[in-house]
Amino acid sequence: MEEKTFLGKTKHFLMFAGPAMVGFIAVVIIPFIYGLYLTFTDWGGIGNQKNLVGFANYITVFKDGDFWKSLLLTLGYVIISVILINLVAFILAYLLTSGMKAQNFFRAGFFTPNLIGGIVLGFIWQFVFTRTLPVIGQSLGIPLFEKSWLSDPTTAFWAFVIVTVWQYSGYMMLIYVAGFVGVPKDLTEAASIDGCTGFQVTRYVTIPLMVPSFVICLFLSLTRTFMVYDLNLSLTNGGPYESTKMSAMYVYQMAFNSQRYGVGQAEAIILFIVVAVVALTQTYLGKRMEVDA
Amino acid sequence: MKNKKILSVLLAAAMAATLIAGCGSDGGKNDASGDTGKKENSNVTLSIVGIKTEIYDQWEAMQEEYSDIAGLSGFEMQVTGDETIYSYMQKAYAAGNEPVMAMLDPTDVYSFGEEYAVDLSGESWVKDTDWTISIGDKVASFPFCIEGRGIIYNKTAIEKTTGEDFDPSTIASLSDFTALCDKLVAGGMEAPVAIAQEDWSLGAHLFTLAYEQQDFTEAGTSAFIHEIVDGTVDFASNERYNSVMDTVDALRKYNIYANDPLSADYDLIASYMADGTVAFWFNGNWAWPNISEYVDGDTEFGIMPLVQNTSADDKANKMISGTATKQIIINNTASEEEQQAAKDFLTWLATDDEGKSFLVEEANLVSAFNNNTLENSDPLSVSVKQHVSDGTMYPTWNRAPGDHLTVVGGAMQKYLTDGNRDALAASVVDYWTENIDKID
Repeated sequence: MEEKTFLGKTKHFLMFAGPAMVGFIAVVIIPFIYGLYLTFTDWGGIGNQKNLVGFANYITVFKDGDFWKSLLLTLGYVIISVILINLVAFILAYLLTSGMKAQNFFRAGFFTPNLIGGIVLGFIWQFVFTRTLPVIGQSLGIPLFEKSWLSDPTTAFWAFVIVTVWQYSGYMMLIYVAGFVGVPKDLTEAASIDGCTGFQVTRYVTIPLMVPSFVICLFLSLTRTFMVYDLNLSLTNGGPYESTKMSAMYVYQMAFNSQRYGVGQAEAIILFIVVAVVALTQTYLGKRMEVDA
Repeated sequence: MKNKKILSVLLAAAMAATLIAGCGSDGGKNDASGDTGKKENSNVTLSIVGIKTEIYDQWEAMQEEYSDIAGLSGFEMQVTGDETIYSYMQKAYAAGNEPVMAMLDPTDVYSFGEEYAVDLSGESWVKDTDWTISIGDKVASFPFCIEGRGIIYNKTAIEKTTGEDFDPSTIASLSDFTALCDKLVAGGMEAPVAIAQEDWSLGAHLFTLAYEQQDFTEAGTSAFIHEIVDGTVDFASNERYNSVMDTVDALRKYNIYANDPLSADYDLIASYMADGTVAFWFNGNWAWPNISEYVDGDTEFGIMPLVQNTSADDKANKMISGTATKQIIINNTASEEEQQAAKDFLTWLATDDEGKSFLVEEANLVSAFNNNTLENSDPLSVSVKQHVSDGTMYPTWNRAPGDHLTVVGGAMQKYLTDGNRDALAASVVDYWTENIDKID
């Protein structure tokens, strides 16, 4: 058989994966390596003058307290958002697979926010937080809503979390719905016949079989919230007074506004390592928990 | 099974790499309009990026007209989309597809000009303007328009509320200003002032006055920044800083958003200015398109200085800050023919009647050229032009690095809510200590 030889395998591989590989290498691998190279230069972003400076940029990064503060802030935001996104998504999926009326309509409805781009979504919610809610709060006398949520660091942070959850939980819900639907009926029926309560069926049969869904959802929500930029830009623009500036925005501003490209790039690499470690650990641990039906 | 696991982990890594590469190094920005292919008929295509968004339509009409006049094979306008002109140009230079001309903010002219700007010192229009930017001994840029900033006032609303004639020159100090505000409040205008919360407005426009008004020259401002960093001057107790902040405090007191300053909304303020809900707004003549949207009938506006509690002969109480805020450079990477065509175009803008008329009458901008005597139609530009011809405009200091407005703007946002002057001064000094190598 042709496929058995090395050459044959290579040919087949290239036939199917080749075009994607070329694209992937051109737009991801090469810029990534070039970016890595830039972290060792003092390039300011303009011109052809690039001097190698060794690890100077990384030393600057380690001394840059604001960067670590933004990373810590991002970490807090990620933890809270990921938990809430998945919790909301799971509950929605549970409700929308339990055979309630008009569940397809609701599925589509909850998914819709995901079809709106982050920038637009941010502006919509900015309007809600700065104009709509204060008006409602003032006329009904609800102290919580009397001021714009975006003008105080704490409430701005939570506003940001709420919008994130609103944006992503619909998408994650769809994955969970697929997970729920994918659990074979005969297994849940068998469990019921054996005397399981509804909760026990979910806890001991459905959830273990849905681990792949959890792994995917956690991975997606982790990486997306870690790399959040568009929503950050249009909802709070890092404000009020730079209190909601997430890592990605910090890195961008370092590279382009502060015109320290090498330092910004080095921070991007560190951010990459953090995200990669977190995401891969989570994937690895999750995969170990998978069971076959 | 084992292979599947490895594969999935690899895929996960690949996806993570995709995400980060998208953030960090911005791989392939595909510029759809990058094709500046030259036609064979000895004609050239001009291209420009960075046109002020307010004048897109006027510019497009003009460039079509000019193409016919000059026999160009084309004239195209590129837009930066959602990124800054700085990062757009950075990428364009790296990719080698930069447009022939770029309309930049002064600070970007300093960034790119030394390496890329064509020397314009031989051009006929240079003698007619004071607003070019020179780098070393070359004239790097063509000043496109002048913009000034100060307190915008709604004359009609003030007169209606107080029942008296309003002459801005009678407001010569902060006490005059607060007295007028009190009168307005008594007359029924609950909060006569609005302060925008945008970081560029607070950081780059309002706060920068505290540097600029040290001695009202650009060189003096740079020197002052050096002094606050090396400790010769204690910024927190600096007289000008405190007198500017005294006025800011007065603005805060009468601010329509006093309870929640960071909920200010730019468009709403513009409408408040237009309908006379508020009478004063610290901003510049670029705000006219926003305000005019809401103006009904005959309402008079103007720009006056940010008056302070200093002596009557203090320049700060008479002069507004302004400069040529948009500067066009010609890229030296363009071909000889393109450079020449671009120079011809700039000469046309500065000296030809049609060019002059485009700038003032179509685009409604304040010309930076002495020989352009056409009248503007919008009241804020008229006011700025008046300040220019009266000699009551001093040059804005525009050497602050790109992140100055985010950092100091952020500190100012904080000040609007807590009024802590020492903390503000400390963050400003911190900022400059880190960035002092970026200014001369």
